[in-house]
Amino acid sequence: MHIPDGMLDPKISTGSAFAAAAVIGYCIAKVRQSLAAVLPEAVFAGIGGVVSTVKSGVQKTFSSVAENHFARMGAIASLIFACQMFNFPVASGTSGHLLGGIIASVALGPFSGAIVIAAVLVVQSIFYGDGGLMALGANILNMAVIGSFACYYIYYCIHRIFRNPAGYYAGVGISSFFSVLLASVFCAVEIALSGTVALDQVVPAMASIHSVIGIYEALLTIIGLEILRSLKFELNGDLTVEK
Amino acid sequence: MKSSARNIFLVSVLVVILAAVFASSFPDGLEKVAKILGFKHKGTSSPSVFIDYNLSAPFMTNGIISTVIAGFIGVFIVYAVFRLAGFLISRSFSNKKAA
Repeated sequence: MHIPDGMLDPKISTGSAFAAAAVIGYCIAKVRQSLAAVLPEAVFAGIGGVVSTVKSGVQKTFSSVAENHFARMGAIASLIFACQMFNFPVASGTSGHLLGGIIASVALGPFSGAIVIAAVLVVQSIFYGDGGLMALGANILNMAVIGSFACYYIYYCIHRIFRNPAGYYAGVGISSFFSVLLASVFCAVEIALSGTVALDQVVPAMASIHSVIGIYEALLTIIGLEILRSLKFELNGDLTVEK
Repeated sequence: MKSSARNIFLVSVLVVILAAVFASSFPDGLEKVAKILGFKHKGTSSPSVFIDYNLSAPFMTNGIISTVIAGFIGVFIVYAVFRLAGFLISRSFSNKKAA
């Protein structure tokens, strides 16, 4: 559901770009903060200018934690980029592909997950013409902010209430279904508010097609996360501070 | 942990190959709705390097190979962006400490 240029009016694309930038900026700040929390001494040492051999040892640990976390983000980003190329046929001459919002946020945490989806969308838009440049803010709002970040909390609530494997699978499945559905509804509303098409036509049409795609998303997300686990990729493992 | 990141990078490369061979060319959900409701013509394609995940090179006649290469480049770009960000951030923290 990458919106191309021409379907949104400038007000809607600028407005959603600001909204998307605010949330992604917040996510970047939270990731920085959680990385700093891994090693508060490093930050204090930076302020005080205190250098000691003990701290330089800790510094090394910090560097490897930070680089490791970014390597994990990069790996998930490349996986989602690849999966989004893979369109599978759904009902009546329509195709869909994995959005991957819940894979990213469950694997890395909601803040890093949203950043990963946003980065994938930026690369797709700049280099592949998949989603317009002017519509990039709206696409990030729909798929990264709503589809990954906001819908993570559906998973989080379900898994909090049912702290067992069934609760985990239900949480992943239901949240990924809604990540596609809600992203498509947001997309439809943005296009309608731009005056491109009537709201009462586009919202039901988008919602009905994407509720079918959402079922695939739920299954593929569960399978995808199992594959990550089997590759010894700890889900949300390194930075548990990210809550 | 880093080895698991590399394994996932390799899985992505595999997915790109599978996607190039098997991906459906049906319109996606939004395109389909735009077609039915008659606003598809409003969408304009923005200029970019790899249109429709293809190398737009004259010597590239095989669609599958072209998509595989375009996909590899994308997978590599997103991975590299994060590795670079990680390198810069861990260095920025080290520099703060050294100062």
